[in-house]
Amino acid sequence: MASDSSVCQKIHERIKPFLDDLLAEEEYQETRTHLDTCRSCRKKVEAVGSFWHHIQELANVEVPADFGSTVVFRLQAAPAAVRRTEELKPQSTWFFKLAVFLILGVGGAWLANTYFRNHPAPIQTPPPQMTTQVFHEPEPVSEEEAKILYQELNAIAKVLGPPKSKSDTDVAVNQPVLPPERAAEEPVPAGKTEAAVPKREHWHFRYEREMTKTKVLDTIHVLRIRIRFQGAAALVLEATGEQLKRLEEEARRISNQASPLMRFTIERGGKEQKHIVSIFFQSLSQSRPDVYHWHLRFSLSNRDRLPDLFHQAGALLTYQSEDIIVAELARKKIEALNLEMKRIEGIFVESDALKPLTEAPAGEESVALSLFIES
Amino acid sequence: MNAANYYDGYLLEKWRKGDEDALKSLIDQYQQKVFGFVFCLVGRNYDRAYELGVSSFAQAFYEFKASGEEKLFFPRMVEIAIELSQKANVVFSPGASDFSGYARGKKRILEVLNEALQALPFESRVHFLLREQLGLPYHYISAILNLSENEAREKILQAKTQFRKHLEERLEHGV
Repeated sequence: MASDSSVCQKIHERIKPFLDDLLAEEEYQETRTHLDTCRSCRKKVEAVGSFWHHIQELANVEVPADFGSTVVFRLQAAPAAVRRTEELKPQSTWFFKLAVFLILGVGGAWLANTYFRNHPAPIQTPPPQMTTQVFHEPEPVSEEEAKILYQELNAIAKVLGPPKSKSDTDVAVNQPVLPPERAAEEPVPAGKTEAAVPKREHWHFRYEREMTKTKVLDTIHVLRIRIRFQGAAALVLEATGEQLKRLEEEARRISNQASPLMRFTIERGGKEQKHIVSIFFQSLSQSRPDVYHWHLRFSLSNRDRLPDLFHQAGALLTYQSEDIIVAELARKKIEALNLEMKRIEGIFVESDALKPLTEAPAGEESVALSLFIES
Repeated sequence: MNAANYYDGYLLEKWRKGDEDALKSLIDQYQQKVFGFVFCLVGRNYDRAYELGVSSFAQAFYEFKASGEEKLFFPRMVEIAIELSQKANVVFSPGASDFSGYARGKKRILEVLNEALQALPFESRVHFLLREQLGLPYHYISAILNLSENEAREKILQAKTQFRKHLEERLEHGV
């Protein structure tokens, strides 16, 4: 009986409920009796048990103590921050508002990346609290230990079913999150200058940032940026009467929300058809005197590459929990903008156009860039 | 609808009517599962798992409060966690996972298993973890993935096979 393959097959199907103690008493006793006599089934149970145990161990992590309170806080303080992306996208006036967030996100990542590439020694040392991943070599193990580990891992591998040929298993199921790099397909037009751009829009904002660069491989560095917005973002734009009306409605709606972290205002600009749209951010954290500010202006022309930059910035930005509201708002808006990008044509971010335009305010590090948007 | 789902619906309804304790009960009930799942999904990156886990809960609660939908809460939250984790596109850093606190042999096994897991394409990792880490039944998984049950089984089998292949390839180079 012990070697009866049909019985063994039945036992194999019961291994997980057996290990989880979910079998009926009769089945449990039957399984136990069989395992007492069948060495191969016993080995199989041990291997499966080891496999599941280790997979559970991989996920065995202590949930942060403030996890629940952060969820509650976010729901209470900023319901808009958790609104689904689809609800954020439809109206055309969203572009103006969303574009502000795009620039905050993309510009921050882009500027920091560019700046640090060109200025390896920043004026101020990054704050010590930033996360830096520590890479370490595996601890050496003896030959005997390695042999035992190999056997255990090999047993785990066998639990997972018969191996397949490479051609069968190399199926890439997922789609890359980042879009394919389009820069190679659509090279930056050489020699494009400010003078060639017919219309300009300037954005101004200040933020605090922390950045770490981590070397993964010789050719790959992961850039992580933490941004805390504290100033204002101002967009000078031309708006029709109808667009202005909708912007004002949106400004009222946002300003009426319970969150004190963001204010949205529209002011009449110098010319009749121009208006300044400002979004003011207030960080939840007031206690970071060591973080410094940048004063930014961006330069943008040709809209084609904006989705790529958005994706890159979205992948790079990380946020601190204390900034969760602001970060979530920014992230959602950026995501929403991504969904909108098909409706925007002809933008191109020209990295060559990045250049300092203003002097640093006293006591602050300042980099100014210029943003151009081609109509 | 089983008892757990019925209880979720009951708690959600209480929360909709203003009972914050019901909200906390739901969070307590699922935070370990969701956090652990996302933690594995994003290469054991604690900070990102925290942000993504909180976002998943918040978005799921918001949806339920706003729409009053009667979808099953936990599968929908897992679905959101998957969507957000995929968008986050966290880069896995070999050697960066912290397994300190484990005995040396076990630590090495976990490191190798984690590397094999992270070598899977994102969707395969999802399929693998839904079944092997969360231990969800196939009908749950098929609902989360919007697949038929047979398709879900096939995907999970494929993921496990890929996992085995990565593991064996890793073992070819020694432990």
